[in-house]
Order: sequence, then structure tokens, then C-alpha cells
Amino acid sequence: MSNKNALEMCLLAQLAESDGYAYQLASVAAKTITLREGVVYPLLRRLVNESHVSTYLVESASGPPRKFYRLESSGVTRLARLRHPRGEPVLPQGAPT
Amino acid sequence: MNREQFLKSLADELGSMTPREREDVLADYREYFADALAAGRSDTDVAKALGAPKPLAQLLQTESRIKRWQDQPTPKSFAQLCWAVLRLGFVNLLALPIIVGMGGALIGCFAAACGLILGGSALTLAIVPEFQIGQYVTVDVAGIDLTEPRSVMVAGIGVICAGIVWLFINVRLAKWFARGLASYARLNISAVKDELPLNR
Repeated sequence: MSNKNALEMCLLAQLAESDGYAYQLASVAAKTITLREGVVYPLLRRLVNESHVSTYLVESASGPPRKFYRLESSGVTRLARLRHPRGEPVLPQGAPT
Repeated sequence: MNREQFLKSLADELGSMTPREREDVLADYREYFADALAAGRSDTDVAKALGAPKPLAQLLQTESRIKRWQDQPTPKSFAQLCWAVLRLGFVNLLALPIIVGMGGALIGCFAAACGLILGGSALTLAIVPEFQIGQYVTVDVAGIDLTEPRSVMVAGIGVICAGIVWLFINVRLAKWFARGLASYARLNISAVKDELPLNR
């Protein structure tokens, strides 16, 4: 599995648990995979464009409003496909790639 | 590079985006910096981790082009998508001839469709003596002149129809081509990422 798929899976899996914002998603991802932070936003934008994920803004007490990401139904399907690619054994989540 | 320098050069590189899109991207990065600083990191460290603004901006712009083309599949957004992909600079030596070749073939196909429609129109108009096109049209089978204005016109209409059908097929082909290009661009985002001098 490529690194990008690992990150994509990691982001989607986190969003399957609960909505999150970019820095939070990136910090959690950094714990399980070798993260290149620069990839996070391009990837998130792609997921939004593909309607796997949607966004909403939440006013924050300090600083600018935060953009939260929410998993959509097509994202759930996408996550399932990433977790169980055809013809590949099922890997535990966050397995080294 | 500190936070201000990063945001400034990112904004400069996002020239082809609409002001609204650009502001949205910059807001994302401002939020990221704010969160990272709150977590105790220095802004130069974060800017370094986020990568060089230029390739980053190209990736984001390509994604925005893909989005625009998906929303409004017009010849303009199609051309913009092609240009953005070529500009990314990751089109490697193997893929470049394939993409340029397919793009060229597509242009040729569109030209052929236009040719069919124009040629068909000329044949159809040949029936009107005032246009004086008829003198250029001869249907010659085994030395026997079979030129007959009405049959030439019917043939002309047939050619126009063939041209229109071919045009529709080409539009479909162009859509496939753009979809392939978009997938290719997205595929390369990950593959090239590590090789790009992002940490400059």
C-alpha cells in the first residue's frame, strides 16, 4: 500500500470515529504513520472534491474559525475499500506499509 | 521561512485561483499555523514541514481545476485542466508522449468532425446553382459521370450527420481523457511528493 493510501485511510478512519479539524487529524496520523504534513491539505481537498468528506466552520474562542471535516456516506464506502482492497489480505489498521 | 513568508508566497503562487478559492486555501493554512503554534511548535518549523509553497500551490491548483471541470465540463475548463496537469512538471518522460499524443489525436478527431460537417454542408449547398459549388462536385464511377444534384445533396446530408455523430463521440472521448488525466494527476500527487524538494 502506498503512503498516500495509508494517510487517506488514516484520515478517513479518524473521521469515521468523530469529526475533526486539520491539525488534529494530522497529529493523530503522525502517531501511526510517517507523515508528510504538506500532503494533508491537498489530500483533504481531494476528499472534499470527491464528496467523501464535507466541511463546516466552527467559530473558535481564540483565533480564526476552525474548519471541521465530516465523513460522508461515500467516504465510508471509500474507507471500506481502502481497508479491504480486492485480492489483498486484510491488514490491521495502521500496519506498517 | 516564517509564517508570513510562507503565506505570502503561497498566495502569490495561487494566481489562477479565484480570490474566494485562494482565501479559502490561505484560511486553511492560517488555521494550521495557529493550531501548530498553540501546540508549541515554531512557525519556521511548521512552514518547513508544510513544504515549499510552489509545488504545494501547483497541487492545490490542479485539484481546483479538476473540481471546476467536474462541476462545469466545458472546453475552457477542459483546457485549463490539461494545462494545469502539464504545468505540474511531474509529467515524466514516459507519460508525456502518451498525453501529448492522445491530446493531439483528440484535436485531430475534432478537426475531422468539423471537416465532415463543412464538407457535407458544401455538398448540400451544391444543389443551389447560385453558390456555384456544383461545378466542383463530380461523382464518377468507372468513367461514367453519375453527378446528379439531388443525390449529391442527400449524400451531403449524410456526411453532415456522420460529422455530428462523430462530434458527439469525440466529446465523450474528451471526457474520458480528462477523467484519466485527473486520476493521473491525483495518482502522482503521492508518488512525486517525496521526490519534490518540499523541505527547501
